[in-house]
Amino acid sequence: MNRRRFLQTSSLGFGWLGLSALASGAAAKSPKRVIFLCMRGAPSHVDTFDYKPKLNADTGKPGPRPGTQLLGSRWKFSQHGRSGHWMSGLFPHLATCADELCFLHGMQTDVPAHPQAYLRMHTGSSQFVRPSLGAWTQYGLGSLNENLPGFITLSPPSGLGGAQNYGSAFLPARHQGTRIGVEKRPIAQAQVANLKSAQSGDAQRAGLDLVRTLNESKLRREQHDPQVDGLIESFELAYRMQGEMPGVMDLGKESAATKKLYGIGDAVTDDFGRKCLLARRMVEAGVRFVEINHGDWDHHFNLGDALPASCAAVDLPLRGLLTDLKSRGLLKDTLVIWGGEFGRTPHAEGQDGRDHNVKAFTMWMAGGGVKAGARHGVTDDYGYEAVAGQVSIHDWHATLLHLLGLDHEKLTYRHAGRDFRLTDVHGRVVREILA
Amino acid sequence: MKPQIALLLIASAAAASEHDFFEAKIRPVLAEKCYGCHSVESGKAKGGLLLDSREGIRTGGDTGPAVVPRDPEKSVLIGAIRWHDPDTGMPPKNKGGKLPASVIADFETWVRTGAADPREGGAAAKKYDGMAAKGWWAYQPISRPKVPATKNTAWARTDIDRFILAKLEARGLEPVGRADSATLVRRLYLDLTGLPPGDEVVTDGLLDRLLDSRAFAERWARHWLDVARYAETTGGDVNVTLPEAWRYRDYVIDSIHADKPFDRFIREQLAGDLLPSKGEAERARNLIATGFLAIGAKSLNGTDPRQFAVDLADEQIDAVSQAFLGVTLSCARCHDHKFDPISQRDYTAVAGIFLSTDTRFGTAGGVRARNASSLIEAPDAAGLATVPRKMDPQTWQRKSTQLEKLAAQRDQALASRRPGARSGGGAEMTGFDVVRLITEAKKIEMEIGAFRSDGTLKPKIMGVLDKPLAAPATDRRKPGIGGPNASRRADSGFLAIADSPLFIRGSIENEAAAVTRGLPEILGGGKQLRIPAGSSGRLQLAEWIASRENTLTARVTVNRVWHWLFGKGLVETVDNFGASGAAPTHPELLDHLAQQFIDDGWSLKKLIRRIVTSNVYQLDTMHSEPRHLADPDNRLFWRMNARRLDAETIRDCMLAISGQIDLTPPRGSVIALAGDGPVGGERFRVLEEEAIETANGRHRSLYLPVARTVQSEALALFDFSDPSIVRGARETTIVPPQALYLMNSAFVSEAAGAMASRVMSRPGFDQRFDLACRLAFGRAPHPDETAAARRLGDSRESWVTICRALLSSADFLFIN
Repeated sequence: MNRRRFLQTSSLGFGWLGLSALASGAAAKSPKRVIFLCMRGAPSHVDTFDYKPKLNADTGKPGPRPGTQLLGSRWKFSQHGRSGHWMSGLFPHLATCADELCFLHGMQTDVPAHPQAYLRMHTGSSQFVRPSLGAWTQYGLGSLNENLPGFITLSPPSGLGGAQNYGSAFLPARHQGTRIGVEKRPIAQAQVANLKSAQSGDAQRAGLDLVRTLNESKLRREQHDPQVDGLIESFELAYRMQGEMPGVMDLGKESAATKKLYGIGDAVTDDFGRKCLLARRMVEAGVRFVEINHGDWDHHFNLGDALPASCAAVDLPLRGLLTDLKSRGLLKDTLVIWGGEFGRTPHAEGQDGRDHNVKAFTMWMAGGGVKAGARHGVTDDYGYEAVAGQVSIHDWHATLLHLLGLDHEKLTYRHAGRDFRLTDVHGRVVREILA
Repeated sequence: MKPQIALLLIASAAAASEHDFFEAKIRPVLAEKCYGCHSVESGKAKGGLLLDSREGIRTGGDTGPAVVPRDPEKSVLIGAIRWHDPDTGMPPKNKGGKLPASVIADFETWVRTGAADPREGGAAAKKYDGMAAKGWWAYQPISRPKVPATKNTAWARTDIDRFILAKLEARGLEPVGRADSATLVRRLYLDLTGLPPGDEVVTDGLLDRLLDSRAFAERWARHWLDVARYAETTGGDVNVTLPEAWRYRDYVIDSIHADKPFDRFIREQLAGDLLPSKGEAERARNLIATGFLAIGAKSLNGTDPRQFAVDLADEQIDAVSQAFLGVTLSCARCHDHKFDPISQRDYTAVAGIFLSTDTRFGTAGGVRARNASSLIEAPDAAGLATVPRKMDPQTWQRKSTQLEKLAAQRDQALASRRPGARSGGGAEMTGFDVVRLITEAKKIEMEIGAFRSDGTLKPKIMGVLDKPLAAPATDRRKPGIGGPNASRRADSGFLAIADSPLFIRGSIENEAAAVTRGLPEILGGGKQLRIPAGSSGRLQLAEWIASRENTLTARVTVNRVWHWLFGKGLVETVDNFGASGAAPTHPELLDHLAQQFIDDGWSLKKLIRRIVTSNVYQLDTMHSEPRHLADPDNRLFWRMNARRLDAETIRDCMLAISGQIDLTPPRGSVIALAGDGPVGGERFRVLEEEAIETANGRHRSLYLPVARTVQSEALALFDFSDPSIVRGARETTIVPPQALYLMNSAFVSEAAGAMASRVMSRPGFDQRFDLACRLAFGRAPHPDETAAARRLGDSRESWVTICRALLSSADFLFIN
């Protein structure tokens, strides 16, 4: 009996989800891939993308939280592009791409502590072990390139929920994110596990041929065993991955101009620039979901020095990524998302710092399916709390899935006797930002 | 008189037209604005509320009756549409927001005049569907089915065979042939001990020897550890070590080795602290058993101790109900169970038992791990072993002095930050500085707290105790957890034995009346617990779970054992026997096994012996086209399922085959040796995540450190169980990263190298290859295999490649 026949007659087949059952209606123009630029530590929205002139005017006055003093932003804001987005002087390079960006100024989350909020942003829950956004995406859309993992995360932090942030939880294990590198170690040194053979190419091939012969001999003896078929296939894929992955990881093939575009070679931007360029190479090669982690944005003190340093590390590479994706025709079907787990307070912590704020923060999106140059949501005069166009993490997840052509209420997985969703029983698609 | 008459007239006019008023003013608004979320037709009953029938609107939802005739102030619906609060106002903002004032006035009038409502039937609010599952097979008493007669009277060897054969015959099928003896010996070794048979096997008395071996206990302990979600770190938001968890692991091994009756095993894990014991050693063992309740995943960083307490109890309920009963009781935390006859009241009755329980899980405490507890200190008389970790007495003394200073600074800083305090002391400190002080003090406290002043490790136990009858007086000077910015609650509020309030929608901010501690009504079969005064009820709960009358426990247990031997349970959803799970393929056999298990004194070894000596267990894995077409998933067990080795068995077999394995049990684990603190993360970590990922050594794999969120690479790649979840059946994936591991990892290289040395001690290619195949596959090579291998040559390098190939091939990776 052949493999196809077996899959027809058995419930063991590797079924992909039927997209028709899940379509959100956005499928025709849906982006195919995602680059999530995750800014760990919670960037200050009032110093970057949420312009609050009254906060500056009222510096030193009592803040909305009792016993606090407002702290104006020391960075000058100006408007950019036809969209007229207000952006602070900390992002001079990204500002030239203003018209590609769509800002969500009304972001809110629930727990003002990094681990919970970071997990919630990634999995929808800080309380329970749930599949991550990337795993759900992979599960819903399947693979674009069987030679590569479908979900890759670059330099994730080891704390804050660790691997749970890119885990598959109860989803089948193949949807788990493949980790490359860890936070605080240069990505230039990172590699996929077990990709390099210690043997010579010939010796390895001879060994693999023997494995294949042994497995085929077993198949002949037993006539039929889909698991052995699967094993043979997995070795072939691994061998191809061994061949293809190092090429994807090798930035040596990029021109000097491209590297410069991403700020590679400059100590300030090198690491994040490499991650961005890797992300582009990966989505280009067919990886479905790439996440880049970048920290630390947790500026409780020393905001004056630390925030500009954090911004400088990402500003030029962000422009590089967006312009490069666009010039290669990839931006129209790649969804780029940027943001951290929450925002920061308009009032001061100490002399020169800002505390956690879950009532308002800013994220942005660019690329396929998103209304470029738009903004949604408004915070109060100080940026303390979103007062209109609030977007919860569940709403944000619902919107991301919708953009990818998936209905967040229909993308379910049955586990422990019930159907689970990324958005649990919540989530509203932010239609206002759909192109 | 006149005005009164006038009023009466108006009132009666209104009464005459009240149905018209409803039809004209009320029903259209309900239909347009409310039915979208509160009607049978929409399939939604948000807040448990249906507004499309008189019954629904009068009964109301979670917050009480939506409409109380003639009393607008008591009618939740009126309060909601008045829209005082944007969070609870109805209709919600995204559905159009507040209604016009005239419409609100209409509703008030309608309620005041009696809320006439002609709607009837059809849309009656259903309390919950789960009750419909009362008749589900798993909630019926375990029967004593008659062993069926079969047409073929020669094949069956045991009663198990007769049950299986009868089903096959009913479908016109017969089983395939028996596996050859080499295959059977390897199957038995791997299933019973997780180790390969070796190159020479004595088959006389083999089964007895295997069952009596410690290797058997280790293998089957690992199965139970999957169910018990065993791990040595908390997982969750901060992944903190549980350095005493290994004692529970060893307790499980010892219990299985001794073939402790399974009902006793259950009682010890749930209520060992409440069982009588002879002496301190037995008392300590019983306490260690309750580690089952303490080792679950936890998010320690929460700022609200009350939330933490109910989440902890919920995790325990989830683990207990799935591990022993195969039902998902915690689905009823926020609402009545959607599929099973378990109400939120039932959940709350059980929750009270666990909220009356003091769970001593330990952990480091401090910032990002705000919810810590102490451990149970064992007296010397218990004779508990400790891991070889020491602190020299001078260091202990120095840290102790340092702690006093820090604690003083901390207390002063906290005092000076209280509202109304005079400035000075810590007033200039930022909140961040104070948190740092608290954290630093906590860290040292925990470091030295692990040791006696002479620097030796104190023997401690993870486990549970009953809470006291009355709440102890709180120490007001004690800093609340989480430092100055944390929640205002100083404690969880669950400080003594008490019934739990019902939390509406599972929210701790929304309490209803308390529910008496006890059993879920339907599952309890009408019985209730008799909980003595001054007791949590945990012991009574344990006794009910481990009783022969319980319709679930014995069935769930024998079914898991069947799954672990066949790769598929008689009930395929091994951890879910509820109405959303699968029905048994062989209900009579399941009950037969469950009864026999109970009659055999809940002996695991007897049960396993009965199964492996059946003909069904000894069938070949051979494919058969006609049988496959009739039953493609082998639900009728016409053959044995070929199963991929699990992660531990792959690694243990590689160590054994290459002659590297060390079968002596190690004391503790890598995590026990590291002590208290986070794994990975930024601050205070006691172990790098890499140390877990790359943990290796020569001991059996169940002794590798088991952390949550980060796992040993060798185990994680081959579908090691996620230790946050009760898991009686692991997944089996076959994916490229596994192949990369087999092709390129240092571990497999080393094993292949050592195996090559071992086979090269024989003279000549054929003898060498014969030994290699016997070691890897438990059988002699086939001629085509020898021919293929010979092409690689006879050099050492060739042998390393050949051995690696054997360890990567299906005949090694599968149990046939």
